[in-house]
Amino acid sequence: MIEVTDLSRHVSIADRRLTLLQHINFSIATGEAVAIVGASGSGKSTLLGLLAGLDTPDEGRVMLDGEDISALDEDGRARLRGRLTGFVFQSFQLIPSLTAIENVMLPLELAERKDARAAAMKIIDRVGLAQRCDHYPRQLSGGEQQRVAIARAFVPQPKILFADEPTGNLDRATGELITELLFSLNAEQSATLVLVTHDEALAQRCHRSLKLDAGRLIDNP
Amino acid sequence: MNFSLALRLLLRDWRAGELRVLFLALLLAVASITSVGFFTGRIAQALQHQSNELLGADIVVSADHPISDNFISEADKLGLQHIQAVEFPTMLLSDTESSLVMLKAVDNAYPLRGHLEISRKRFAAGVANTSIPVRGSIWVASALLTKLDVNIGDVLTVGEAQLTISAVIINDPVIAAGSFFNVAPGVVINSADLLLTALVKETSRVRFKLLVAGPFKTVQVYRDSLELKLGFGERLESVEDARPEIRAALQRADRYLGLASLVSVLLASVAIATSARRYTRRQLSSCALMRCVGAVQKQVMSLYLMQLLMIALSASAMGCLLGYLLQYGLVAIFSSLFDVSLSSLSMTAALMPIGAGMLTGVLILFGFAAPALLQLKNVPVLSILRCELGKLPAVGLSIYISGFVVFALLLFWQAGDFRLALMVLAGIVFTVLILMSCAGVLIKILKIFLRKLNTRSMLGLSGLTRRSVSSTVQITAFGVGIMVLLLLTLVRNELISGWQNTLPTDAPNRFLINIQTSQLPGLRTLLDDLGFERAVFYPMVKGRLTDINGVNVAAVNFHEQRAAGLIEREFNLSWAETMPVDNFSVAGSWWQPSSKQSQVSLEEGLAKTLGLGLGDVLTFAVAGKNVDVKIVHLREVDWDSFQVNFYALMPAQVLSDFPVSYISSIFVPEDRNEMLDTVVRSYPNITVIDVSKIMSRVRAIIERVSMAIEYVFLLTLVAGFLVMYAAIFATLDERLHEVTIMKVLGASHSKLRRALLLEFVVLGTLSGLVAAICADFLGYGLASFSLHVDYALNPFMWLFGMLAGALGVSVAGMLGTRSVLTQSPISSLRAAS
Repeated sequence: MIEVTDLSRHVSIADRRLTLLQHINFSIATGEAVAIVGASGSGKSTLLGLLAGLDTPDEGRVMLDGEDISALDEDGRARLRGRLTGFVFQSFQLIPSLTAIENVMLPLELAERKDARAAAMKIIDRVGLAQRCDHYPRQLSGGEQQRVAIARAFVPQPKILFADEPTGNLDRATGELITELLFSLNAEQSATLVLVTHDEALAQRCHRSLKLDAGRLIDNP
Repeated sequence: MNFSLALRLLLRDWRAGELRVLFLALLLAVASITSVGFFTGRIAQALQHQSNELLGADIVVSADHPISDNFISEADKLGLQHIQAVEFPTMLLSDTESSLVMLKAVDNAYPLRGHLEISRKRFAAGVANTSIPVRGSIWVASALLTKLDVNIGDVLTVGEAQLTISAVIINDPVIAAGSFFNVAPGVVINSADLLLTALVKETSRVRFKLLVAGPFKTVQVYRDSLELKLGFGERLESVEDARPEIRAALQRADRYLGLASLVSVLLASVAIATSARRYTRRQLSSCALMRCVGAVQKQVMSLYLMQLLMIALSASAMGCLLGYLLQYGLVAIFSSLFDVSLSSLSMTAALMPIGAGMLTGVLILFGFAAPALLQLKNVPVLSILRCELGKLPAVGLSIYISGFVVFALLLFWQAGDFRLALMVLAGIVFTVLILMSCAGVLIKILKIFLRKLNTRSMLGLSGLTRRSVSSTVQITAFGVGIMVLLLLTLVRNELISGWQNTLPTDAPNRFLINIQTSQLPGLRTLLDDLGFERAVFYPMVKGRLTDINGVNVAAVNFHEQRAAGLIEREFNLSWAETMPVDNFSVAGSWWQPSSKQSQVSLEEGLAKTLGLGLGDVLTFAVAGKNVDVKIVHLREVDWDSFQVNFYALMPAQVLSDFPVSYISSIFVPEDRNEMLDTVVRSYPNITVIDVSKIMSRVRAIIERVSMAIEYVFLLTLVAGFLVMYAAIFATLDERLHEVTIMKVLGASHSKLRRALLLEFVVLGTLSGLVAAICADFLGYGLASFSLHVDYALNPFMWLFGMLAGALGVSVAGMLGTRSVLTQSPISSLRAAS
C-alpha cells in the first residue's frame, strides 16, 4: 500500500542546510498498522507529512496505492488524499464555526456525496457522540473533540489513515479510549494505519514500529 | 453541487456569527447609495414635470408657419390633450405711449401645465388663474402699465384691434422660461381676437405653437413619432436651460447627497476590509483542512468566491430594499417643494439605483474582501500538521490596490465631478498616510516612555506597543471613523451654513435691464435716494456667435438642443478688468488689467455644451461688425448666487466702441414694491425682472437639502460606529489569547479591565487628535476649492476630537471586548487549542 524509496528532506536555515530525513526506505502492506516513533525532532512528523503528500521530498519517492505522489502537483496530491486517506491530528483541527456533525460531513460534502448527513450521523453515533452532534467544538471536551476528528477521518472510508500523536493532547484514560476507538474503526474498515506517537502503549498496539533517530531509520523490522 | 456546498458552509458561518459585521457593513453601504439614488431619480422626474410647467405643456411643437395637421391628428389619435398658441413681438399703443411687447394669443385651457398668476394691481401678489382673457380683453405685465401710463380698464391698440386691459400678469411661467434678458414684457390675448389684430402675415416673426399634454408614456410615443416628422422651421421646444438657478441648486444638492452617501460607503468599506481580514484568518484552518482531506485549490477558492458572491448579492439586495424604504424619509422632506407627487418612480428610473446598488455591493465586497480571502490560496497544507495556522501569509501592498481602485471608481462615479472626487480621494489617501505614520511614531514614543510609567499602566499600554502593527491599523481605522464623524457633525454645519450664506436674505431679487449709458448718473442718484446704495451696473453688448475657429456655425450643426438654442440666441457680452469675485477659475488665465488683446473668458458649462476649449477662436457679430476673440480662460459661475453673471467676458477695450446698455441687480423688500413703480415711471425703457419667486424656491431647496443631508448622515453615523466595532472585533482573538494567558498567570479581573480601558483611552485620544486635524483641513479644502463656501479652521474641534475619540473608542472597546474579560480561561484555552 505504501512504498518509500530513498526518501530525503532538507531545509535551509540561515544559509545552513539542515537534513530532516535521510535515505529512508520501507514499505507498508495493506491493512497493516505501523507506528513511527522516535525522540522529539527526529523527523517523525516530517515523514508523516511526506507520506500523506502534505509535503514533497527533495530526493526519493513515495508510492501510495501504486501512485507516485512525488510526481503529482499539489492539486493532484489533494485528489489522491481525498480518495485514499484520512487524518487524525494531535490538535484535533476541527473547524470552530461548524458543529460536530458538520465537521464530520465536510469531507463527504467536498466529495459531493449526497448521503453526507446520513453517513456522518452513522459514524458519529459509532464514536458515541450522537447526543452531542449539534455542539460546536468549543462546547466539547478534548476527548470528545478527538472522537469527532476520528469520525471525520473514517467517514469517507479511507484506505490509509494517518494519525499524528492522536493521544498527545489527552490524559491517559481518555487517550486509551481514543486508542481503542482508532484501532477498532481501523479494523472494521480494514484500513492501513500509520501513526506517529511518543506513546509506547500506543506503538505496542501496532503490528510494527519504525524508529527514527536524527532523520535516519534505525529500526525497521 | 459546489454551489449548494458553498451555501451550506456560508449559512453555517453566518449562524456562528462570523459574517455579521461584513454583511451589515455591505448592507449599509448599498442602502446608503440606493436611497440617495432612488431619491435623485424622483427629484429628476419631478424636475422634468416642473420643466413642463415652464413649457406650459408636456411637449411643445414650435414652427415658423401654422402647425401642420399631421401633428394635430397624431395627438388626437393618441388621445393627447392639445391647444395652440401664437407668439410674436409687436408694438402696443396707448393714447400717449408705445412699447415693444411679446404678444401671445392662446386657446382656452392655456397653459396645459402650470398656471398664469394674475392680479388687479401692478407689482402685487398674484393668484393662480385657470381661464384666459375673454374676447376683447388683454392681460399685460406690470411694467407695461407704468410704461404706457395706463390702468386696468383702459384700452390698448394692438395692430388693428382695440383691447381692454382686464388683468395684470404677475407670473407667466412660460414667459419666465425664456431667457430673461431677451424677452420684451409679455401680453396675453384670446386667440379668437388674433384675426382682429391683422398682425399675422407671412413676413412677420411669428412662432406657431402646439402645446400637448397627457400621460408620460403616451407623450413619449408622441415625441418619438414627431422627431422623424419635423420639417424645415419646425422644432421641439425644451426648457433644459430654463431655470439655471434652480438646476444649479439641485445639482449642488445632488452632489452633497452623493458625497454624504459615499462617506457611508467609505466607512462601510473600511469595516468590510477590517472584518474580512479577521474572517479570513478564521478560515485558515478550514481552508488547510479542506485541502488536507482532498479538496483541490480551485475547488476551495471557488467555494470562497462563491460565498463572497452570495454575501454580496444577498446583502446588496437587502440594502436595495432598505434604501427603497429609507428614501421615503427623503421624499417626505422634499415633497412640499414640488407641486407634483414624488412617489411615482417609473420602472426604468427605479432600475437605475437598484442596478447601481447591486453593482456597488459586489464591487466593494470583492474589492475589499477578495484580496484578504485570496491569501488563503497561499496557505501551506503542511502547516496544519505543525499548528502554524495563527497568521496569514504575508502579502504585498499591491493586493490592497484593488480596494483602492474600486473606491476611487465609486467616488468618481458618485461625485460626478472630477475635481471634487480627486480632492476627496487625495484627502483620504493623505489622511490615511498621516494617520498611519502618526500612529507608528506615537507607538514608538510610547515604547520609550513605558519604562517611566508604573506597572499597572504598563500592562495596558504595553499591549499597544506589543501589537504595534495591529495597533497602527486600529488607530488608522478609528481615525477614519472619527474623522468622518467629525466631518459630519461639526464641519457639516460649517459647510451648510456657508451654503446658506451664499444666498443671504437681502440678496438682489430684481434685475434692471436695458439701462442706457446716458441714464446711469440719474438712475444711480434715484436708486440712492430710494435707499438702494449697493447697486452696481454691468455693461452689456449684444452679439451673435457666427463662427468657431473661422467655420460658420449654424444651429443645425449642434444636435444637443441646448447648444442649438445657444447658437440661435444673442449672447449678452460684457467686459471686466478683473474676474468677478464670485466666479472661479477652471482653466487658463485671466488677462492683465487694461489688456487690449481680443480675448474671452467663457463660462465652463457653456464651453462644454458647445464643445469649446482654450485656444478656440470665436467670432461674434456685434452691431454689424465681426469681433474675433480667443478663449483664454474658463470660469465656473454660481448661478444660484443670483448675482449678475455673464457667459462671455472680454477685456473692456474689445467691446467699448459698440452700443452698450447696462444691467443692475437690487434687493427690493416685499413691502416696498412701489419703489419699482418710481423707477419704471422715471425710466420707462428699463425692464424690471422679478426673481424673488425663484429665489425663495432656491432657499427652500437649500433648507430641504440641509435636512436631507442630516438624514443621510444618520446612516453614515451608523457606518462610523460599525468601523469602530469592526476594528475592535478584528483584534478580539489576539486580545482573548493575551488576556487568557494573563488570567492564568494571576492577573485579576479588575486589573485587566483597567489595562484594557487605558489602552482604549490612549488609542481613542491619539486617533481622535489626528482625525480632528485631518477633518478640519479636509473641510477647509472642500469648502474652499470645491463647494465654494466660507469655512474657518476650528482648533476647538481638535480638543473635541480627542475627547470624543477617547470616549467613543473606550465605550465601543469595552463593550466589544466584554466577552474577553468574562470568558473563563479554560474555555478560551480550549478554543485556542
